[in-house]
Amino acid sequence: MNSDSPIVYVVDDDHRIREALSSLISSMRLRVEAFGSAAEFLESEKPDAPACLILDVELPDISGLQLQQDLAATDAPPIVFITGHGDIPSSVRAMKAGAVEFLSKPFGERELLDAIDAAIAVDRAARQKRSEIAQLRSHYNLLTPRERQVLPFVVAGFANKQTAGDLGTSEITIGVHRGQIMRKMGARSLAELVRMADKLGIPRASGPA
Amino acid sequence: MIFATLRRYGFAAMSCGLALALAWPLDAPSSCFFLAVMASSLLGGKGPGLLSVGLSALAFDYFFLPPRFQLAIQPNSYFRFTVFLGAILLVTGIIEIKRRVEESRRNEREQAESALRKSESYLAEAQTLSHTGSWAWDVNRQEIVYWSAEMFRIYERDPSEGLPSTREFSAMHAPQDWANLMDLAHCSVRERADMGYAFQFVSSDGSLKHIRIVGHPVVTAKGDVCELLGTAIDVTEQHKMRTALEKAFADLKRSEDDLREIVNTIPTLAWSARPDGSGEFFNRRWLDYTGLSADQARDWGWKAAVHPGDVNALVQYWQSVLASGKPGEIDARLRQADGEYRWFLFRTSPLHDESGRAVKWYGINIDIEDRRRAEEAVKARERDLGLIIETLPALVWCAAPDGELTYVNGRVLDYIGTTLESLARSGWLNFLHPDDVEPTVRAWSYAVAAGQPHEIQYRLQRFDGTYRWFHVLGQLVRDSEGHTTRWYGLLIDIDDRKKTEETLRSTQTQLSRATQIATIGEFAAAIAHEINQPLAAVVANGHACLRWLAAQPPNLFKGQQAAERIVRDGREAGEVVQRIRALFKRAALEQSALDLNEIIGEVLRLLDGETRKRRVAVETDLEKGLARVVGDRVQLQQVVFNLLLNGLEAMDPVIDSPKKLSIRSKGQSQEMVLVEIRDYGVGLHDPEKVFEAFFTTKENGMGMGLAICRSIIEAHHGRLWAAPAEETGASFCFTLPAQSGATL
Repeated sequence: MNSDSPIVYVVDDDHRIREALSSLISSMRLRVEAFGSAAEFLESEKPDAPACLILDVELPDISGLQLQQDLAATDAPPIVFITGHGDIPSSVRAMKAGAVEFLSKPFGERELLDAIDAAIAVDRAARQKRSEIAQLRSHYNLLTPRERQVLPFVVAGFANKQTAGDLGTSEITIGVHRGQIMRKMGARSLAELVRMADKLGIPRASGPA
Repeated sequence: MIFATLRRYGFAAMSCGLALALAWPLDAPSSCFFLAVMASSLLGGKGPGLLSVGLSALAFDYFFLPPRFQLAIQPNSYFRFTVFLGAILLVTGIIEIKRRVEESRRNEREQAESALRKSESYLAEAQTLSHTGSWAWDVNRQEIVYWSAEMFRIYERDPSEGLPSTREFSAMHAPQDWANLMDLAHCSVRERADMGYAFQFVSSDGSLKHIRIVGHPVVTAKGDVCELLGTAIDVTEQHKMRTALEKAFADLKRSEDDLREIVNTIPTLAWSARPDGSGEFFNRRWLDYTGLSADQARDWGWKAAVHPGDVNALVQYWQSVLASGKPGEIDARLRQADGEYRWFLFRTSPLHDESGRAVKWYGINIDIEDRRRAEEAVKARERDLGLIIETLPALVWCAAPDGELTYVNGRVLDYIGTTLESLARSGWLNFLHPDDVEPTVRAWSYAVAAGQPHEIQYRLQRFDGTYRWFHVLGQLVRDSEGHTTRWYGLLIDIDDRKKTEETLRSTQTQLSRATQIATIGEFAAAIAHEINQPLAAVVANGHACLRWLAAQPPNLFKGQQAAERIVRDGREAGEVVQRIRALFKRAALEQSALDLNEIIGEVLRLLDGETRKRRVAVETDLEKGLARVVGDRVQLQQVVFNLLLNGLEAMDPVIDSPKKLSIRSKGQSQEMVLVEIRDYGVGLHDPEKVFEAFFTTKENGMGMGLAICRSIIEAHHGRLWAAPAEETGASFCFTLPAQSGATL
């Protein structure tokens, strides 16, 4: 298994579940790491690989649902909930908060495997997007402050003349900046540059006057 | 005196000798002796006169009648001697007579003068005493000619200064007074009439003297008025007395007015009557109240104001009072001016003269309407109260302080079906259930002896012969001085309640069972978790095992491990089921020696899912080697389960502090084992109330849990109680007797 092979985290306070799931998941040729509590999971080193989190709702320290909330803002892996109670309100909450699946114990091999596959697929896509954005950001960081100032005007479709008027410089200078931006961002067309700006979340300058 | 007499006789003898000496040379004996006799008689009186007569006769005979120097007398000289003697005797006699006349006259004058002096002093005294001075005024000369001593005193003039001149006299008066006096004086003279004038004189010390002057004209024989005679009287004292008298009269009149005012304004109706009973005086209040005038009310007119229904009795009584002459009082209605009648108390009292006869009757009428109304209200209230007690849907009794029944209300009599008389005759104890007589008598005797409130329950026979349970309450009432006056009591029919209680008791066992079933619902969730947990592991392990075996090449080691875990977890699941079955097994009460710590551990395991679901930290402090207790395992498990579940649920509303459930066990003493379950939840309002059946704070609870727990613990001879814990939460404790001599 290379470093890019997916990894499955299991968080459950019942050692019997941890043991059983670890064995089952590793028999699926997936990497598995099991934790007895949320804290243990949070403190662990996580390799850079597609992953998913199999999380028990009832945990001794903070509940699985709480952990889900805490992780929402980070690049944590997608979550598959498992529970011994299987109450409907908890499952609704979990799914609304973005869980991939909510499994009631005991669950079958198929259900688990499907959930893991789905979760890892989600994570792969997310990782892909994250790396694309990271690359764009590194390109963007190459721009000079003036070029970053000019970019919103370019992606908003301003003519160089207008941009020059607004920024109080010459049309020629804007043309030079534009060429630099296209080159540094690695954009082959204006349309591509516009998509890049959108991914980076760069706002367009307000419509041409 | 004797010398004076001797001098007088000596003078007579000397005058005779001198006459002899002169007569001899002059030879005129008769004349000389004549003169001597005259002188002696005049100056010496009768004795010396006669002595000189004798001596002169002898000397004349001896020296001048022949024979000279002899005493013999010749006959021719007889005549001469006789004339001589006769002459001198005559002279002596005449002189003596004259002297006597003069003397008597002098005596008379002296007597008259002394009488005059006396009367003058009387007059002066009288004038001084009466402050009356007399005066005389010469009309022609226009001046004062006489002032008595008192006049000087009245006018405060020193008598040594003499009579005042007219100018001085005028200056003693105020100008107006002087002018008036002069006018009056002239008038008196002209009219020949008396005058009188009163005025005030300012005395030297500044005080005023009141002086009254009276004058009378003195008319001469010719008919002219020469003088005015009169008196001046100092009437200051009389004036003062009169002023005082006038003031006294004024005061008297004022006090009379005051009295009348008082009589008229005293806030009561007052009157006086003549001895015959007729009205004489009615005060203004009386008249204002009745609206009658004084004239209308007088005599017998007042009867008009008396209520027609009372007037005859009143007059009759009034006559009897008049006849008796003694004070009396009677109630009667008196009409108000607006026609409304009010009740009055007529009260009268006679005024007696010295002989004890009633000369006048005085009376007052007191408005007693309000009092009468109040009295009537009290009577009405008493009637009402009596009625209330009689009609009250309660059984009421009263007894004397010594315990003797004195009264029962109609309800009691209706219930028993007897009368008060027959109840008193036969005694109320006869109506009690025979089994209750003895304890009732004992309790009642004690209450009566101690004066303590009486409370007991007994069965009382109804008119139809059935007995019903009553709760009896008695209260001893004391008067303001603390003397016991009476027992008041109630009989409360509690028969239905009693029966309900019995029913309740008989169904308690069934209820206990019912709650056990009721708690199954609560077990369900716990059971599900307990079973699902190992089951999930079994399933996962099963899949893993199959996968390991199906792998190419098969991983036999991993497959075996998984299979072993399947066996292990499957067995655990089986144990869980066993435990649950044991919990619900309704076995007969099994007495066995039990380790409470073990039971707590089992229940905690059962509740493991619950505590985790509720995120409650469970803290145990279980004493090692805790003494065993003898009891039924399932029942004690049920108690612990209930108490733990209660604690967990009590913390459900807690959000701002850690949820913690602590369980402690320890040997409280050699004989007792204590278990305490403490939560940090909402706490308790009434630590006793929670043990009452059907008391619950849970929406879907039956309120039987704790009641059952208590009955179980008490059946095990233990005790279960609750108490609010310090800070927050509550703590439930139970004790159970330790198995004697069997500690681990």
